[in-house]
Amino acid sequence: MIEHLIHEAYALIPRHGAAVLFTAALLSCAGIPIPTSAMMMAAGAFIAAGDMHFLPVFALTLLGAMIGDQIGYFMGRTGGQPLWDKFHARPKLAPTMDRARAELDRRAVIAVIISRFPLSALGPWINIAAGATQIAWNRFSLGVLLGDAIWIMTYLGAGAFFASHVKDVGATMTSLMGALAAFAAVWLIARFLWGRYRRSPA
Amino acid sequence: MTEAPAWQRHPVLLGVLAVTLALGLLFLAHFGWMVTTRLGAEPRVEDWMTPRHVVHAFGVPEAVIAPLLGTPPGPLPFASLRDLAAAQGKTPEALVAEVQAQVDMADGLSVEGGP
Repeated sequence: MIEHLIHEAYALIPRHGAAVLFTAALLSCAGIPIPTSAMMMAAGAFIAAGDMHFLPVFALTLLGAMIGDQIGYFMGRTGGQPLWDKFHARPKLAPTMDRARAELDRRAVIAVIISRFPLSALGPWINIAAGATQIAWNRFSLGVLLGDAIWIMTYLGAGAFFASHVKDVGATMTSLMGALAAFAAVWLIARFLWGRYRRSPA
Repeated sequence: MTEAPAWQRHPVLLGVLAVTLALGLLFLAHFGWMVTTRLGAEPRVEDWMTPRHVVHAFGVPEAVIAPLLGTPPGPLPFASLRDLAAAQGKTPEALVAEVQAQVDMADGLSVEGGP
């Protein structure tokens, strides 16, 4: 199924050019699961073959990704704020939440960069969490700019390098990144549940 | 009265954990399958590829591919073999087979001509 999806996504690139990468990056960064990383690898192979030019592909993909990231951030900021306020109103939770927010804000740039690459599948969730916890917009935007630029250049470069095997490498990378993101999410949830278990009275 | 354990107090979160773990294992299994069976395999021509990509990735001369495409003389078009086949009224499979035959032939010639 992953390979079929990637196959069809690759066929869209010669038909619609860099515009399809703009759209894919925007939608995937806003939370819709699309194999954008694999599509960037195909674009890298097309650049290496002389079919596409690096600069428009890079610029349009970066623009799409940045817009998608901002959609997620503001969704979290507007939708997550009432939830935040509700829990923050509890005197027992407020100091912990303030500490968590300060910690997240301090590490915002590096967290956002890591969530673009290698844990790109977690990116949309980090965007929403960043908005919901009111991480400063300028720090968030700097993180996504750097993270997205690294993410796009890595995959375009990999596509150019693995041009003859670009679909197999793309599908393999998609599975690996999916597994890494899923296990990272499992670790976070298990850590939360374990923490609550240890704090609960025997 | 003792408080219920964390996983009993968070059944939804526990469900999300189980589904995410299953998804992670599926991705991991697919990754393992790709690495062991596909990555070392000889690449084949596919209908999403463009003529220039075939030339670049398979090392075939442009002059061998160009006559199969039914396009006017000049630079190779940026179009998939699927769309080029449709423009000629062929099935994508037919054009892919023709291009693959040329790739195989060029491959055979380079092996025969090698040291």
